[in-house]
Amino acid sequence: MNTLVECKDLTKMYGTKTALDHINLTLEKGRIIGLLGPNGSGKTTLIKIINGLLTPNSGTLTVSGMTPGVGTKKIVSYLPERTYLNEWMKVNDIIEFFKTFYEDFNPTKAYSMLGKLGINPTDKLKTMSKGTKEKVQLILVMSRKADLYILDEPIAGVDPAARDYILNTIISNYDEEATILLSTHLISDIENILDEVVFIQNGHIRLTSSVEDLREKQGKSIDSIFREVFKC
Amino acid sequence: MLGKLFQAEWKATSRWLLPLHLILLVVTVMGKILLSTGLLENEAFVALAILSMTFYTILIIATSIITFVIIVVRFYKSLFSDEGYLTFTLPVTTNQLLISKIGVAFIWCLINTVSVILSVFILVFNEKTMDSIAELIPNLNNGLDKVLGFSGFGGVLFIIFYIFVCILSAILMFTVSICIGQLMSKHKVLGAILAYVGIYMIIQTISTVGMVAIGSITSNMSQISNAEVLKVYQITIPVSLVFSIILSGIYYFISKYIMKNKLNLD
Repeated sequence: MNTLVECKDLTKMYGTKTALDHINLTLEKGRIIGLLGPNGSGKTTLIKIINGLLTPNSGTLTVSGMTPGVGTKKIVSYLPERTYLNEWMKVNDIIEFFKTFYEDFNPTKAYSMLGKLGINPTDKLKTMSKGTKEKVQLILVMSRKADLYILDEPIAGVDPAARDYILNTIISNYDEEATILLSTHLISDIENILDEVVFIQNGHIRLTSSVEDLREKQGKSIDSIFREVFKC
Repeated sequence: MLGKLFQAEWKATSRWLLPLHLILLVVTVMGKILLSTGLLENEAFVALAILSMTFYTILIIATSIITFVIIVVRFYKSLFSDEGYLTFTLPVTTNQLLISKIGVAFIWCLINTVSVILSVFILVFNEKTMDSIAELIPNLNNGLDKVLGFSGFGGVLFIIFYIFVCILSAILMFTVSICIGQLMSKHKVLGAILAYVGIYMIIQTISTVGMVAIGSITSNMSQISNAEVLKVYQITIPVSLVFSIILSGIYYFISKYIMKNKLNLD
């Protein structure tokens, strides 16, 4: 079995508003998958359910055969779109924190990436810019040896130059067995690293396909396909 | 994992609460020194005496309030602000999260209670007060014996247990209010305050009804005898204790249910 994430009839409502409408989706091991869709399409809702931050109204979702819980949290490394770090901590406090709670966290890797980006481990997070905080968070998340990395808008807040470094970091720091689920609407920046795309809109999956197939069949970049599918 | 959570929680809270209680300690020692000089008994220094008394009273009250505020803010921020994204994706159970937070909060409340009592005790402790305290103890003991039916060591244990339950249910009332408040999509803090006020009013109503019920068992209020006052205490103390324990349980399970199933992070 190569399945990592499986959704069956997954539905999530906020009051009377349907955020995810009977979604069926399978994500396999060893893939870099783009979760693409306009704002309010249900990307973050899906990501939150995978991370156990939301409970679905109906349907099931499993990661490695487990429903979200302690077991899945051990193997999922999650970068939310929010900065979740304690402002009063220093970078090395946070590294210590991750080391304490995640068995798969590799501090050596984290320190080496910090060094390359010129971030001082004894700096307090309070003194850092938003972009630097995002870099620190990404470094923490990528320093785990997880089965599934979920990156929600990982490059939205950083400048284009840092984007390249970050994407590089993502690709060079995960092992072939792991899967990366990447949500963004900055498609042109990331389409070269994707193996697969999932288009999501109004709580429905519009399209799932390997990037190769899609390019071959349509002869266009993912970015232009996205613009066509989601034309306003 | 529970141990690790306790440690992290302790670290996060003690960076405020440790200095706060150290200040109380320093002020207590300084006050003791000031008192031992006999300076304050001099009529020329009345203003100083009043000033230092006022300062001390404010400090004692502030220490307790700040302790509670820091615990409550920490609970809210670490769970339901952006930090919640990290807290709730740690590989731990909801029970472990809740127990570690309530546990550390409980320990701080105890430290605070003991510090305040000790501080006052240190300042008023001298031969004269010692004598009056010594006189008070048999009276207290006697009262405990009459009301509860046991005294001495058992009585002390009962009082400590009672205080523990009170602290715990106070903490849990805050946690459940915050959990209920975060159900709102906006104004989560306002929601928490409203939830707290709501719960407070419900409990007051139940207590009032309970007191009236107990009162009506004993006799008419107009000519109440000592024995009957005693009887009221004998009923209300155990009943309120059991009531607090049941409430704490309910608060805990509602908090846990919301954290597990109704999490609503922005």
